[in-house]
Amino acid sequence: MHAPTHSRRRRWMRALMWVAVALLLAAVFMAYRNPHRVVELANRVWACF
Amino acid sequence: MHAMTRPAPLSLQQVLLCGAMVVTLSMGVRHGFGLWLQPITMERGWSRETFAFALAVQNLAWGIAGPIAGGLADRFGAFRVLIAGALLYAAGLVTMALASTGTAFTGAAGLLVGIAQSGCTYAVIYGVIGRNVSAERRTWAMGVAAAAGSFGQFLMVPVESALISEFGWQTALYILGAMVLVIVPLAFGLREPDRTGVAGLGSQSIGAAVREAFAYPSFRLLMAGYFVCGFQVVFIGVHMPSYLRDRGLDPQVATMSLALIGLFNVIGTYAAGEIGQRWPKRYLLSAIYLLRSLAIVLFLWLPLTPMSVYVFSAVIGLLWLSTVPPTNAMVAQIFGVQYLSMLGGFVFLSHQIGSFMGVWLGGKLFDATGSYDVVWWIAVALGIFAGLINLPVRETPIVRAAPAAA
Repeated sequence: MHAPTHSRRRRWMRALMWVAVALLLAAVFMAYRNPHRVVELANRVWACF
Repeated sequence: MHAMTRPAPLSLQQVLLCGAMVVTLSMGVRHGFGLWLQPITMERGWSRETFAFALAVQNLAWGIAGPIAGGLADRFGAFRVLIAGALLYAAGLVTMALASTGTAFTGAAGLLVGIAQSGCTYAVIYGVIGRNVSAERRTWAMGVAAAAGSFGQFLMVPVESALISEFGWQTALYILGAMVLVIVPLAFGLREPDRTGVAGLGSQSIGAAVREAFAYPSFRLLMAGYFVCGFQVVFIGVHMPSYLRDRGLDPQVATMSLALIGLFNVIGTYAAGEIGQRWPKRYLLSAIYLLRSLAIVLFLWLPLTPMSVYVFSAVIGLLWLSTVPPTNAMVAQIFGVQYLSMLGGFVFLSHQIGSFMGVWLGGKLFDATGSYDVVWWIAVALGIFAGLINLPVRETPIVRAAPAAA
């Protein structure tokens, strides 16, 4: 009885970890799209060349 | 006297957590250096060439110091090299902020940071992974560490831009200097037990390891492939915004392209580790290089629109640093882990020479022809070349003659 419960918990933990990673990546991606930052960042990237 | 028993390895979680955080910081901090070009050159009255030269020196110093830092890590322990690297990194960032001449800036941003990078990036961390993670999970673990480095690059561009805006460029560099010092406590999490005299861990000398690797055709093929990786990635990374501007696209398209490359790079690097654990790594590398060439051909062939830029950025992002885990895992698979950091450093030196050529030729041929077309097609041809030369790489462990009995 213990083994299936343990493996189910591991699956949930793994799923939760992937959700956390996806949320983190989405949050950073949104930082690039932040209207206050995007123009300033674009100008700095442009200025490099 | 009995040979000592093999010491217990560090735990997988400890190696991955500390290693991933180290490369997130070390790879991330330098990735946004281009953002300082405008404020520094304006305040100091330098030309762009002064700034660009310092960053070119940084890339070469990183590559040249790589085998030395790797050899020291293999010999004296990765954690010592990591601590020295972190201290040099912090010193380089602070000196960047204080440098009032181009020469001093080159010494700081070029030499100090470049050498520091060699001490706290992939090659050193991969040595720890190689020695502490079983071969069954090694490529995957390298993929996790490389994905962390990719995440650092993705994360730090907006963070550094925000730091410059909020605190000014000089204070932003001091803050980054303090941030990289976090590598010091993390290094203690990667402190390996002393293995001197332990049976079964190899007794090859450094010189013999270098001679053996360079005499082995598969090592030379891996180095040639990694040269192409450096050429393509840095050419695209450095010259892409300029290419888009010349074609009349909006600055925000370049920013979105940067974000997409960063996002998909994290996914692609992790996936490469996962796939490389199951498939022959030479086929994976070959596929990555050939797909890069295909992506570039389609990008050049289709009409240039914001959407075509976004799709290209996502695809090339998936293939961006995905060569890192399989290349290093193959070095470990062929030569073992005793000198993995040093041999990884040699392969990375080839990558950095390719990077230098990508940046330099991109600019040189643009000036000569008025467009990037020639360099794009060189990148395509090199991708096909790298795709083909990875196919005959032998992934099996090298066979060494047994030492003669006394």
